[in-house]
Amino acid sequence: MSSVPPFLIFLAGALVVPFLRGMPVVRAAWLLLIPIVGALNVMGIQEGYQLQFEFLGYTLTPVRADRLSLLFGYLFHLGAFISIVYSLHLRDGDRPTLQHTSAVVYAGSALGAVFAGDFITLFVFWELLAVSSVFLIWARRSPRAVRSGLRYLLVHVVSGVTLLAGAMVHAHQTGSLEFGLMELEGLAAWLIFLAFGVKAAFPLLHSWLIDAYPEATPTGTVFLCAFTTKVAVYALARGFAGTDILIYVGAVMACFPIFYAVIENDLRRALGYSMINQIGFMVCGIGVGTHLAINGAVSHAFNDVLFKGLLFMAMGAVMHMTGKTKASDLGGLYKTMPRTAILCIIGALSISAVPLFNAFVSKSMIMSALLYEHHYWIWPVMLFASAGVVEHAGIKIPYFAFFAHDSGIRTREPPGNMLVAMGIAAAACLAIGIWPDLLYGILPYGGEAAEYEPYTYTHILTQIQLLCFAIGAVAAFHLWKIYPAEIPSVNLDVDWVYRRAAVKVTRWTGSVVAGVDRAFRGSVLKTVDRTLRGAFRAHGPKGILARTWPAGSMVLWVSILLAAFLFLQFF
Amino acid sequence: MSEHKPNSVPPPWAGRILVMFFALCAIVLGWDVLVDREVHHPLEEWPIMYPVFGFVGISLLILISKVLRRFVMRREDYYEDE
Repeated sequence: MSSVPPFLIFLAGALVVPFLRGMPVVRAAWLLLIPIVGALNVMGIQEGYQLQFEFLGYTLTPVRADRLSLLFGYLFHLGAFISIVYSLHLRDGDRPTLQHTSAVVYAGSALGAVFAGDFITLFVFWELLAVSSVFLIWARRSPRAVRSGLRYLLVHVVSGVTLLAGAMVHAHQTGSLEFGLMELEGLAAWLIFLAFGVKAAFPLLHSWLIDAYPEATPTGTVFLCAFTTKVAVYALARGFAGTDILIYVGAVMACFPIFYAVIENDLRRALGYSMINQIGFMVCGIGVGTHLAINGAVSHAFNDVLFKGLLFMAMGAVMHMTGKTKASDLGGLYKTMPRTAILCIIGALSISAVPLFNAFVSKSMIMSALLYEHHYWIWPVMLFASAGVVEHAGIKIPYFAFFAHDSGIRTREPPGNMLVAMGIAAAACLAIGIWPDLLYGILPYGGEAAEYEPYTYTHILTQIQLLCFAIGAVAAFHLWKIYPAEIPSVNLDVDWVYRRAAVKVTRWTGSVVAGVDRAFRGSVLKTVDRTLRGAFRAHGPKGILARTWPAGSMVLWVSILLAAFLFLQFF
Repeated sequence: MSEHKPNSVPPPWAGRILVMFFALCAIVLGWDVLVDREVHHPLEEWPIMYPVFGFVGISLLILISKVLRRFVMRREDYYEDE
């Protein structure tokens, strides 16, 4: 085996990037070389390969290659390559060195996490993912981006610490740090599950995603959407496949964001909600846990990097050229950005699971698995979420950016590298949709699960019916003029709890504590003051104890005292 | 980038696309009635279940979102004083 650990190529490559400052052509060539060399390396890794060593009495496994980790390995190389191509135009004002270095470290961390065979290695890359990716948000340099990046970092560091705590308890209980399939029982498993849930954007733990992703740079968001949540999906598939609660968590994730996406004005934030919706399908599939469902979940993760990346790239291109991403500010851009519009529509058709596009061949595996396992109550919920995707990602994103009312903005197509990156992603979406065996051939489970046939008469017909009438409803609401207008606004989500409510509670608690403290200090001071006044009254210049008494009165007092002693002698 | 006067006039081909789309809807609706398909879920036994599910589902999604907006929408600079 001549391969090296996949993350090493990226981390070593990132070390060189800062020295290529001021040499854009050399830097571009170097950046492109990293995922290409990495891909050749990972293709040489055999299934079953493990790199292990002993550390403090525990066995650490920095590399464990099986079909599940290799699938994500291939995916992350493809995602890194497309994202790097998309970011090659960055020039001095965009902080290219910072963005490229952190992006390459970030991609390497994702690879390290999916090949990690033990919890300590996983924890190291889990934290490195957070630390490296936050610079893609901070590179935007706006005060909002800085604040959002801080919140993002805090949430992910807490997730990492939770993972470490779970791993420690797990090691104490089992004597092993191996990261494998677990039962969701006991403190260790729940801590690890919670850590994965934060990164996977579980309901109520999701707001970091919709807070941070829209604040990153146009190129940074493309990197962000490829790695963090997909590492979490991998970790759930590895550690908690077949855990029933994931079915219900996934169903909630698939449904609640689509309501927000309908009324969200910022199109990149709407894509953030869409991302949670798509992860919901993956989480649900992992919860079902059959070979078909796991294949569906991970293949949907693979496809999501392509179609969601394509949509984020299209919105990034719009932002790069116009400086705007809000639906209320955009519209009519198809006139001056026709190629970007077409590529965005391909992304929209893909995410909507239109036949011949890639989501059709992956999401259908999850839906079929739900039916085969008789999850009859969850299946309609996921079908509703499927229809909802058409509304917010299939129609809303391309419609409000490129069509709708003419905003009057006249611009031009984005730089060539952006179009090439979007073209690669679009071609991959179509290729997998038309020839699903390209993807099915590398899925974790073979046999019957890998022989799934998405293009049956019933499936094609019912999907087209669902999509057509979902689109019809949107069209009807537009024609009847009761579709929610795009209004410049923000929508309160869970982040309100720590951005507003927690601040208010903290301030209120502070004011109460300050009041109690003030009252206590006041009463103590009053007591001290009263004591001092009393002492002053007694000992002050006019005090009774400060008076100069005549000698006669002293004789009198001495006589009284002596008489008292004499009197006491009789008893 | 330059700014032109905004206008809301839809392009001339928009109407044609809508007509073609509604024609496609009619075709797939008729297809469901005329040709049998596989059934795995009790709901699927209902005729034209998928078209109804798609239309009603999205209608509910839009209407509930409008209600949700009343509760969660704030001015754009709501968090700016952080």
